[in-house]
Formats: sequence, structure tokens, C-alpha cells
Amino acid sequence: MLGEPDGSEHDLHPEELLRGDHETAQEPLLPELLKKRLLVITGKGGVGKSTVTAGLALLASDLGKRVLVVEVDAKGDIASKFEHPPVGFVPVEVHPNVSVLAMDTEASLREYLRLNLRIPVVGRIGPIARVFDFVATAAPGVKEVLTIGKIAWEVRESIAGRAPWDLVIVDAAATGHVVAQLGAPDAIKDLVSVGPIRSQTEWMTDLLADPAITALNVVTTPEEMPVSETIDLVARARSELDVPLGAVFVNRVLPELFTRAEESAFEALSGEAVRSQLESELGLDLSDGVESVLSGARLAVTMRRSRAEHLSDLRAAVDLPMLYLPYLFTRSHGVRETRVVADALSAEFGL
Amino acid sequence: MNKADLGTSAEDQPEITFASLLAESRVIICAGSGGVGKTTTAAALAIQAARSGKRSIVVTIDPAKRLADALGLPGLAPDPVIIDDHLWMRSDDSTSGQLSAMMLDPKATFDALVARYADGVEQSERILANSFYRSISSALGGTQEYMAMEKLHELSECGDYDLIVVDTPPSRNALDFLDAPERLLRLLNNRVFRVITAPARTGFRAAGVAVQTLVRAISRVIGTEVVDDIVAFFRAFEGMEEGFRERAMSVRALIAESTTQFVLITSPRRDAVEEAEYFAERIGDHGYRVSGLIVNRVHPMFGSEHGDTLRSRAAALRGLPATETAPASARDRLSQYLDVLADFQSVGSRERHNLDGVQLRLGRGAAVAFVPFLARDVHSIEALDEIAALIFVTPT
Repeated sequence: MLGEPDGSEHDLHPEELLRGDHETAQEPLLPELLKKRLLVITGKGGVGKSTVTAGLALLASDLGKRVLVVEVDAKGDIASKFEHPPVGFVPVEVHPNVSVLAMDTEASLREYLRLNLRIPVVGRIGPIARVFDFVATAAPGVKEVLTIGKIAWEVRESIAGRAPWDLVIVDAAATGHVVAQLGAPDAIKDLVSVGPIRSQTEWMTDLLADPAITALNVVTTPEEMPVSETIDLVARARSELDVPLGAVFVNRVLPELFTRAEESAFEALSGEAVRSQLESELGLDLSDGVESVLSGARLAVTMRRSRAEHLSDLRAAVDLPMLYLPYLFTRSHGVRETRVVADALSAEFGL
Repeated sequence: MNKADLGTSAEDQPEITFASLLAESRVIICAGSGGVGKTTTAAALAIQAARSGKRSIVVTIDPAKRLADALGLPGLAPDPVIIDDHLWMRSDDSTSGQLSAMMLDPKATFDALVARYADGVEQSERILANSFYRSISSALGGTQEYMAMEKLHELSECGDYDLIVVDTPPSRNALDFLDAPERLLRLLNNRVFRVITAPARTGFRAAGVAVQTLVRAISRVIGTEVVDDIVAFFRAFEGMEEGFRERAMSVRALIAESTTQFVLITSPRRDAVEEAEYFAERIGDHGYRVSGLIVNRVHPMFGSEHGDTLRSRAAALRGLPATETAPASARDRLSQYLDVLADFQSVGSRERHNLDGVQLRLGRGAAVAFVPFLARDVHSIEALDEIAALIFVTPT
């Protein structure tokens, strides 16, 4: 009963890609992703956006790139993925060739005023904070444009050879907010017909729209809400944004345990029957462990099956290249976890 | 206060259970980071309350579509929907119970608030048409949170419900709702606004030189049209600040009531547990207290064997010579099962390690429930029932 699987009934699931015998070469576009200058990473909260961002940064640095990671929701996650204390608005190298910058819109405003308008910024915090409060709350999109502006500025400077980055990766806002953020330069253009901010946002729009430079990527997990948010986001990005889409990173994918045919055979097993069979066939004393083994496998099968459904929904609705990252069962965090993710990404990129 | 102090003070607190929490609360605020099952848990709590004979309502922000369908929610609605008894009521339930649900529409709530405090239709129409108002009411960070609190107040005032369960928005800062009413007041009271909306002569004289320079800079940056819109908005808004201020105060008072309880929802993932502990601290900073902690999606442990032990047993099994009755394929298959089990054991024990002491650190005598990982998605009343049963019977 536990013998050779019946190959004819073998059903191809996306998880098979994790078995290592798949051809990533069928999607030759993917390594192109790493040739871009700006990768924006979004996704629903809790799907592992920061983990993927850090893994991608580490992989790019392995390939000899100098990487800047911009953390938009400044929670200090990215630095901690490299076992480094939280960083601020000034980029800090947290790992060889990986620098991190935590977005701070108020600091970005100061920098913007200083660089673009030559306005002397008063040193005292009080009025600045109050005025910033005003700007951020009053003028729609200003906070967003300051965020995107800073990112775009780093990319532009690096292309011009004035900043040391080969690649800027953004751990961006969650799916609900990222469209507003990336669309901010355009929104500002609609709102303001003349003036410095208009000319200041035009180059940002151009840079974000250039497929040779920019790609917007989504991280998801094979679960209901993350998948439906990913589908919505891709549709919204296509209709509302002029930003090229890159890839979907599917995180926490379970390895396939059974073929379809085996699954049904497996379900027919009862703990007692299988135990006596195994004991007589293998000559092992399994009096303690078989029920646990079967329960574990049963949970794995159910989980994987429900995840496979969500994955096929995702693949039916989204025609972007997909990269699969395994569920990390083993205990690791910090640089070790980031290394595991970078290696998995490397394999998925076919490197 | 250090963690050890929190531990000992648990002794002094009366013990809370989820049953007593439901019985004694009028408002339950569910807080937690994104992706931990907040909406589902809020719905399960509301159902359980309705079963016990309460008129309960769950206010959600963005439920999964199939969950909304299961609850009979048509979509964004400015008003609550009563859920058909036959969908949730069982024969042994108290018949006085009633279950309602609503999906918050922040913009419509804000519009209703403006209409309520406006001095006539003309003023409210002027505000609703203003482009600055449109952008703050739909896009301003914190508006969703503010409107969730506003709706909570409205539902509490109307007297139609014994228990209101609020699912907080999945914002970047999941506790923004605590500050939301103040944020709007701050916006209305901002000195910069007064400076630019006041007649130029007195306004600019009152402003400091620095503010004046910066306001001019802002006009240059964002354009005069935007500033004009803002001025028009504040002119239109005149006279309504007092109403808004009073409203914000009463929302605050409602949150501070002893019948308002905070329930933290988390998953056993390390980052989620850390965030929950941070939330508990911040809720404490505001002078409120966490009365319940629900940990969702805890992976089961199968037997007592350690993941590493199982992994080495799997390896040993693979090394056994094949015989006629026990072919290598069967052996490989069994060793694969053992590897799967080893993976689950590793996840399970890691989660238990993450949760170790969490009760002492954030519970302080609060009710705690662990809901096991459910392999299937929750989008039926039956599945919500299952979760409620797990919350309400979990031994502490």
C-alpha cells in the first residue's frame, strides 16, 4: 500500500516546483528582474514581505551588486534580518554591499526643501514638526510623494553614478496603500498644474514607468486573503499605475508529499491497520509513533490541498512569473534565515 | 515595571475568562497585526455572544469575501445588517439573541458626521464638495481608524446592541485607532491652519517668522490651488469644530469605560508575538488594559518526540536494507512521513517557545485562548462556531 506511486495518475501541482526537478529556465525573464535598478516589494501584512526583501538583497549582493534597501514602514525589520540594530534616514551598511535606509517623510521633506527649493530650514524642531504635520495632513499625496521622491532620487543618482547603488529594493507599503504611494507623483500632477513640484514629479513618473529600471513585485502566501489581495493589486496596478509589474513571490509553499492517487490511498488508511502492516512488513516496533506519523501527514495533506487551490486561483488570475519559496520549518532567524531565503530565491531564479 | 512584576501582579487581578468577558462587556476591541485572523475572531466572539442571548454586532473593516458572504454581508454598508437567525442560531440557544454585522465604509461615516454637525444642508454640501475634504475623508491616514471609533460610538449610543465587537483596521500602525480622534482634533487645531485661514493681517502677524517662511514654502511646493482649497474647507467647516471636539471626547470616554475591553489577537509566529507584546504595552500606556489574548493558528504537536529525533529515525529507516516484504519504496515513503512529522514537531515546538511566558507578559490575569491551526479557510458559520468553541473551552 505504501509502495511505488502510480505515475499515470500523477497530478502536477505548483508545489512540485519545490522538488528541485523543475525547469526554471522556462521563464528566462526572471533573472532580468535582477538587472533592474528599482524593485518595489509589496504584499499583504504578515506574508513575509521583509523576509523576501532581505533575501533578495542578500542574493543580489552575492551576485556582486551594491544594494540599498529602503524600508518604508520603518519597523526596523530589515536591519534585524541582518542582525543589525535599527537604522535611520542615512543609509547604513548592515552586511557587505547591503545598505539599509529607514524612510522618514519629515527628514525627506527637509532634504527636498534643501536640495530643490534652496529654502533655509530652521533648525528648531517645534515649528518644523507642526508645519510638517500640516503638510502631511493637508496636502493629499505629499507624504507619499516624499517617500517615492526619496526612493526615485536614490535610483536616479545611482544611475548617474552619484550614488553607489546597483539596485534599490523597497520594502514598500502593504497592498492596500502601495497604489496610492506609487501613484502619488501622478496624482500631484493632476492636482497642481504649475510650479516646482510639478516639474519635480515628472522625472519620477518617467523613472517609475521605465521597464528597464523599475518592477513592482508582490509577495503572497498560498492562503485565501493574501491571494485575493494579490489578484486585486495586480489588477489595480495595471489599471491605475504606469509602473511595470515584475514577479509574484509565493512564500511559505509546502512541499508536495503525495500524488493525488496516493492521497486517496492514504485517506483510506487507519492507524491500526497501517501499524500492523508496517510492523509485519518492516519488522519494526511502531507501537508508539504511527498515529502521530499519520496525523502529521494528514494535516500536511489537508493544508497542502487547500493551499494548492489558492495557488491555482492565483495562477489563473495573474499571468506574472511566479517564484516559490518554501515554508521554513527549521528554526532560524537573523542572517541564517535570510541566507536560506536567498538560496531558495537563487534556485528559483535558476542561478 | 519589569516582566517579573507583571507576573506577580497577576495574582492580584480577578481571573477573567472569555465567558465572563463576553458577559460583562459592552464593547470589545480586537487588536492585532495584519494576517493573524482578527476579523474571523471578532466574528466568532459576536456569534458566541448572540448564542448566549445578547444582541451583538461585529463591525469589520475588510473581511474575506467568502466570510462576508457567509455572514450575509452585501458589502460596504453605512448601516448594520441583522443576520438571519437560521444562519447561526441552534436549538439550545437563548432565543433573545440577535446577531448583526456591518462592514465599515469610512467615507460614508465621515459624510454622515459632517451632515450631523453642519448648520443646515448648504454647509454640509459645501464641505462634501470640497476637494480637500474629499481627500482627507478617503485617503488621509488615520481616517479609517477614526471612523471605526466614530461608528463604535454611534452604535453604542443607539442602544440597539448589548455587545459591539470591533475589528480594528489593518493599518500600518495597528493601534492608530487609539489616537485617531485626537489626530483629527489636532488637525482642526493646528496653528498653521489658523495662520493660513485667518485674514492675512492678523494671522501672519501672530505667526512666527519661521512658520511664515515655511507656509510660503508650502504654497510654493504644493501650489496655491491646494492651499486655496484648504482655506475654503476650513471656512466651510467653521462652527463645527466644537461638535467634533465633543464627539472625540465622548469616543475617548467610551473607550475608557470599564465595560470596554481590549482583546489582542496574534499568531504564534515570533514577529507577531513580539508585536502583540508591543501592542499590550502601548494599550497600557494609554491607560487601558488587555483583558484577553487569543493566539490563532497554533500548530498541533503530535506525540512527544522531538523533531530532531524523528528526523534521525527517518534517516535510519532509509538506511535499512530492503527485503522482499519491505521494499525500499515503502521504507522511503515511511521515512518521508517521519520527515513531515519532524517538520511539524519543529514548527510546533518553536511556536511553543515563542509563546512561552506570553501570558504573564501581556495577560496579567487576562483570559488566554489558543486556537489550533485549521487546515482549511474559515468562511462559514460552522467554521466560526468551531473557533468560538475552541476559544470558550480552552483550559488556561
